[in-house]
Amino acid sequence: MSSNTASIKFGIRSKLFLPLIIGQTAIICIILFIWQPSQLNKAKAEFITEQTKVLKSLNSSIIQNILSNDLSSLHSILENSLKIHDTEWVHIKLTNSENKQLYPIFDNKVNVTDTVLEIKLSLEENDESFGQLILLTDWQLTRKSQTENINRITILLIILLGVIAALSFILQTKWIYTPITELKNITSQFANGKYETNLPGITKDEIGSLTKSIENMRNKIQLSMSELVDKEKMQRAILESAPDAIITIDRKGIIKSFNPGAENIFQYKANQVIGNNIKMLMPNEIARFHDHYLESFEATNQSRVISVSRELFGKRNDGSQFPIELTINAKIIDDEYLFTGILRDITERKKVEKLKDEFISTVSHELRTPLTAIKGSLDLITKGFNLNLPDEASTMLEVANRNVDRLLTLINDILDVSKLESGEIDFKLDDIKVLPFLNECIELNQEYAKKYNTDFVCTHQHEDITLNADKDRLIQVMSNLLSNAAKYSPENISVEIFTDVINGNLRVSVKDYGPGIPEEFQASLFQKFTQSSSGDTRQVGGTGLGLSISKTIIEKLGGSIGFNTIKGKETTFYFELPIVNAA
Amino acid sequence: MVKNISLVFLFLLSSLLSVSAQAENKPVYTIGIVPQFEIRHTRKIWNPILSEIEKSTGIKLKLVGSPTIPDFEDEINSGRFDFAYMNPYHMLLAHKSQGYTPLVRDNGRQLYGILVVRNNSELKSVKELDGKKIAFPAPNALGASLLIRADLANKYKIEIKPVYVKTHSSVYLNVVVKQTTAGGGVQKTLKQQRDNIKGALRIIYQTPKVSPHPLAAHPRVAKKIREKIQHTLMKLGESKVGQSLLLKIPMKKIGSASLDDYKPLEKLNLQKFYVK
Repeated sequence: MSSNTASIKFGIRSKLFLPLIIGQTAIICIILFIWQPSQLNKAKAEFITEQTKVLKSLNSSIIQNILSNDLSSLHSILENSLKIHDTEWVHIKLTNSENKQLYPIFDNKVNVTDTVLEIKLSLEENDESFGQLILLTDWQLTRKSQTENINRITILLIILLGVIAALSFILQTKWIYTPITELKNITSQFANGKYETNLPGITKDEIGSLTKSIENMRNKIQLSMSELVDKEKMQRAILESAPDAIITIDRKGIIKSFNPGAENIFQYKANQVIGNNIKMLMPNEIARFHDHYLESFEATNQSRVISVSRELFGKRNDGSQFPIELTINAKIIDDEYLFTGILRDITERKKVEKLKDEFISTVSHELRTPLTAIKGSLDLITKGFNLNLPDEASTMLEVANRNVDRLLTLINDILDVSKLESGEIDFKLDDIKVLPFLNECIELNQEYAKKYNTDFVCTHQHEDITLNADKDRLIQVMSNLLSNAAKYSPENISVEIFTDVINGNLRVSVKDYGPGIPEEFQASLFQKFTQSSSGDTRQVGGTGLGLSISKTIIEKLGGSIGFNTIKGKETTFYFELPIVNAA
Repeated sequence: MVKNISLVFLFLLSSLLSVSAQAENKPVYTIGIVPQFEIRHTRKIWNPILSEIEKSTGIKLKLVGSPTIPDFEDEINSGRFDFAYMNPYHMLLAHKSQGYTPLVRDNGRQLYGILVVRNNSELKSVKELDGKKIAFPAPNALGASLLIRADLANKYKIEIKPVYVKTHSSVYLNVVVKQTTAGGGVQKTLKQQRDNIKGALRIIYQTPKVSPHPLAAHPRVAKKIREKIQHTLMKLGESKVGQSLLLKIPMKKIGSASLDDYKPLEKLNLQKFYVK
């Protein structure tokens, strides 16, 4: 609004008129200071020429009288001339060739004003000099009449310039200022959303083109506006009909929008939450970290939570907590960060998952007990009783024993997952010295390496580094990573174990030079029942739960797990845990 | 050539006039006037006087103009005019050549020349003018030139360098502006000058006085006619109107004139200084 009504200090009319005024002032200056004096000088020169001509007309008779010594005639001629030209001629002096003054006889005092000019004429005939005439002539009258003429012309010119200026002003106002002002007012109305205002007629000039452009612009804006309104209506419809909660907050956590889905999930009306802090929708243990997240994001522009789906807990109007799945997006609008959170109430999903887990747990328990009995029986048959079984029966028993082992491993993994997810496992945290820990892990998995014709090489050098973790669970993670590496490592090529200290965390890496992880599996690698090649399960063995279990354990221990892979070349799995002391 | 043409013209004119006079049985007499002034001015002065004479006497007088003084002198010497108004020196010449006799002259004044120098001139005597430039209006002007030059040569025995400057005024101006050391003029023209010029000059010499211009008659004119004219003119001088007419000639106080009035001039040997 303010930009539309910006105060005009030096308007277009002044800008158009200023050059004209400058030009006219220059012309007037030229008239007054150059033309007028030059005209006056010209008139003066003409006057002198005229007077000299008159003097020259006397030349012959004066010479004749000088030659005949007829001073009386000479005097008569000069006196008559003085009388004839009495309005101009002030004084005349005649000297002969001997510089003797012949006229006047007696020098009278001559009143010489600043308008009196002296004209000298040498009296000559046939290259013989007979003397000199000196005329003092007053050009006051000529000057006065010339000055009057010049002044008359000057006044006429100034009037003409004035008329031109007035005409220019009127025409500029009519042709430029008024249409532009009209267009300015109309565009101001457009700015205020009044697009229906009529545009002036289109003239055949630049202003006409401008009017046409403004008209086109208005039509396009109107079209875009209607499209925008339609789009907004659609978006609003989507927003309002979405079952998910869509909430936007500013960088201070103040709620800016709250869709009906959110109202439904949180049991608040939009007007109850808009303008309040988002923390009102969070349980206290999450809410207390929220400001820190926002500040950290503002300072670093980086966040682990942006564009990542997370599971958290929300707090309803009645104070009850419920599980949610949250994805946050950050956008800069008008130089301000605006965060949009899309939340889904996953209470039902969690219930189903729990039921499923409980079912799996129950089934696993129920399966493990008879399987353990089967396993014990098979062990006794094959190893305990020294029975001489036919080779065929021995082979079949071996197959049965191996499959029982696989089933037991699978069931143990499933139970682990189930326990970890349901939080049934308590972690026993102890300080673990990393070097002996890694050696122990390698020792434990050495047989496995041999099985795949490979070995483990550890390059960890930091003897003093200590981690605080559940040692058994961490061995489980390491065993998973080492066995995976051994499985995928080409024969006779070592699997490398090495460590790095990164931002106060210890990163433990296990690197194999296997085929790498196909791209399509990378995203779901840490999900349950995933292997890099499903069809290869039998060949490489495993349940497809190991990495999921490892991820859950590491995250429960406050760390992170990840991998880097180069197709056809190498794969490195790593986990990071905080270092207790580096003393 | 011009002189001859004009003579022929005058002859034809006088013949025509005499023919017409004979036709009317009334003689017409010619009168010549020395061309001191422009011819129109001369006519303006003389025609009213001639009308008065005709009115009183019935004698017809016809004014015949001469373009220049030499022409006039030639016409006198050839006796072309019945009557003629001339200067005193002409009178002597006319008498000698044709027997002209004077009838009337101005008795109120006498003619003499004056020699002027600048008022501040250191010149004390006329003798100091020996070898100096002296301005004169014309060589043959009687008072202003002939009388003075004759006196300077005859009486003072000095030689001067005459400069002829056409008019009396020019004479005085030449003296004032130091173009000449002295100048010859007459009292009357000096008086006519502006005061500052008059004041700048002083008279160093004055010639002896002679009788002024006479009106003379040719001996062929009958005595009776001559006396009638003389009488009429002198009668005219008695009336105020007549006086004012005569004053323009100029004749201040008209009186009779005789040859004796001009005899003193003969002694001056003026023909020696006369320039033809």
